[in-house]
Amino acid sequence: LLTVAIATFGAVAYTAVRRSDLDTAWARLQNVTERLAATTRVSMADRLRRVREVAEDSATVAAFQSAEGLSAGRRVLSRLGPDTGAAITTMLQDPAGHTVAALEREVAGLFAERRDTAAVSPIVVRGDSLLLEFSAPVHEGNRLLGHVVQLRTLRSAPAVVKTLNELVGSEAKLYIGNRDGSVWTDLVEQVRQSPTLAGNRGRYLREGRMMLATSAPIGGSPYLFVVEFPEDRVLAKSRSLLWILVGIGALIIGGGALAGWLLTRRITIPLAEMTAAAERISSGAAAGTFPPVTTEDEIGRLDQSFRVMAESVRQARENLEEQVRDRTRALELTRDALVRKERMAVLGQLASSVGHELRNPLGVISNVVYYLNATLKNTPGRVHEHLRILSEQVKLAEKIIADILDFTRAKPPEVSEVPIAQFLDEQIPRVTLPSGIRIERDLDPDLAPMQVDRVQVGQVFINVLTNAVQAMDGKGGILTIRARSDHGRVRLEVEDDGPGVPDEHLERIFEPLFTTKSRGFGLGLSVSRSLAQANGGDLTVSNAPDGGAIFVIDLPAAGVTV
Amino acid sequence: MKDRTILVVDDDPGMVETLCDILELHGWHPVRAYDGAEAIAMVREGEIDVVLMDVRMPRMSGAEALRAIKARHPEIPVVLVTAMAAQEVLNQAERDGAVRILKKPLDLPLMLQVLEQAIAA
Repeated sequence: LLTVAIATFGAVAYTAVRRSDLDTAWARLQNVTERLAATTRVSMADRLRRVREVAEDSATVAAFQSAEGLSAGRRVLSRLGPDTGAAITTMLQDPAGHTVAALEREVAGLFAERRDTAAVSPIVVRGDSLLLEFSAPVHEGNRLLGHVVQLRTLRSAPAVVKTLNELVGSEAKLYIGNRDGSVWTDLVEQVRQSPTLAGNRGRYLREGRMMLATSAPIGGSPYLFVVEFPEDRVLAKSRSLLWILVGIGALIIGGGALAGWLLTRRITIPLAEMTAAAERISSGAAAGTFPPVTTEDEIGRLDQSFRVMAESVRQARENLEEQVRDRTRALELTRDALVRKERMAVLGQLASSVGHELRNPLGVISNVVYYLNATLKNTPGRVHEHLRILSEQVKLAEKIIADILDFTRAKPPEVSEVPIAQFLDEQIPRVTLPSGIRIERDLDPDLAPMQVDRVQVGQVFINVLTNAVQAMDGKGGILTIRARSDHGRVRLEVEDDGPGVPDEHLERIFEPLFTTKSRGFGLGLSVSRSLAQANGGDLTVSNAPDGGAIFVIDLPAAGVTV
Repeated sequence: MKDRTILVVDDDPGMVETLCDILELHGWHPVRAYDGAEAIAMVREGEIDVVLMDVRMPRMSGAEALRAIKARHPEIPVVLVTAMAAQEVLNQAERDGAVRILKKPLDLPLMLQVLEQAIAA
């Protein structure tokens, strides 16, 4: 657009200047041409006047009438003399054009017809010469006697050329021609190409060069002066203006391009980078890095705001992702718990039915064992040993069923005050201790009693204690039972001498059906934790620094009303 | 010394059979019934000193049979055996006159002791 505007402006300016230069040149040429024409008219009129004076001289009339007219004519004509080198001859001619007397030589006149007034003839080409004729009629009364005729060659007048060169320049050329266009000459010779004029102006090519021309008639003659001047000389100034314009245009366009490039660097490139970053952000990727804009302008501020926005988007997205992760994790846990609960509910019903149905046959088997033991008094010892094994296995089966039923049947706890020392005295003997294991009690001197369901918590304690004994795996060692009061709570700890619980099992051991034993349902600790929680407490496990496991039964103490 | 006739009621013949044999070892004279209605009929025929009856049975439960027996023969002690029953059922059974409610799996020495006490009373 800028380019077009500059080009248009340049073209308009150039055209205007060119036109104005041409008009000026034409006007000057016209002026010069007219001055030259005026000068020439004066000299031609002067010459014609002198011819007429001779023609009106009585001596001339007499010369036509005398017998010795020829010599008399010569005397008269000598007054016109060879005043310039341009005169070829001066003659007296009769009306038919026959020469009566000639000063130099006899030549045919140039006028085609008889004239009653003094006149200048059109230019005539004769051989190599360009001729013109001044003639004036000689009358006696009303009778035309003949003409005084002077033929001249057309010559360049040095004064005229000098004037022309001074006024216009050495490249100006002067042409003279007949007004009817029949002959044109540059004052040296006839020229083939006539000036082409419209009115008194012309513009045409001569020998490949565009020329400007103006014409002016030479008064009192049938001649036309034309001054030609090469257009390029006229237009040199406007041409240089054109080049200046082109240069300025190129400068402006180049400058514009440079400015555009700089703007692009300063505006477009940062904008493009921001756009790309925005697209990256909207497609979920990180904004990425791009060179900062250090300017203080709108782009710089936009860049700043954009970076702030990108950062908050990034943080918001991170927060969101973190929240989604957290929620997802929580949901997964909830879902897992629900699935587990559902599974356990189904399993629980099934186990409960199976357990109940198994109890009857087990009861019958127990009865059989009892009966056989009672009746086979005299049978070998091995039979009784087998009956003992049978009885043991029945008890084990009953224990498994009891665990299952405990697990599936949530009875509300019937709480009462339970003194801890007494509780331990009751419970500890229920567990059969292998010979190598020794129990150490470590009780606070003034322990508050527990406020719990004695049976349920007893079950929890027995479970934990049995577990500890099994963990020590017959190797023997010390089993520590600690009890502490703490702000309305009682902490019952059972620490064994075993290998401890692998870290990855620390939470899982409380999951139903999780077991590391070859036997067992994996319900014991799960049931125990549920029971502890039902009693307002909890069951947790950790590993002692020296390797054993520490089970902690946390329970509410009596005397604290909640 | 009484006849020590004891009516053993359970829908599981294995249980009835083994219990009867064990009771015989301990000087009881057991008779058998396999549901509540049968037990009531047996009691009506007379000669029953003690009833040992499972609570959960098809057709007529031990708890219902207990009420029927006690209605006619409040003097006959009834010992109930149960694996699992709702607490209110057990409470009701106690109000209806059950001597004792034993839990399964049966502790046989305890059972024998309870029965001895019941007949001595």
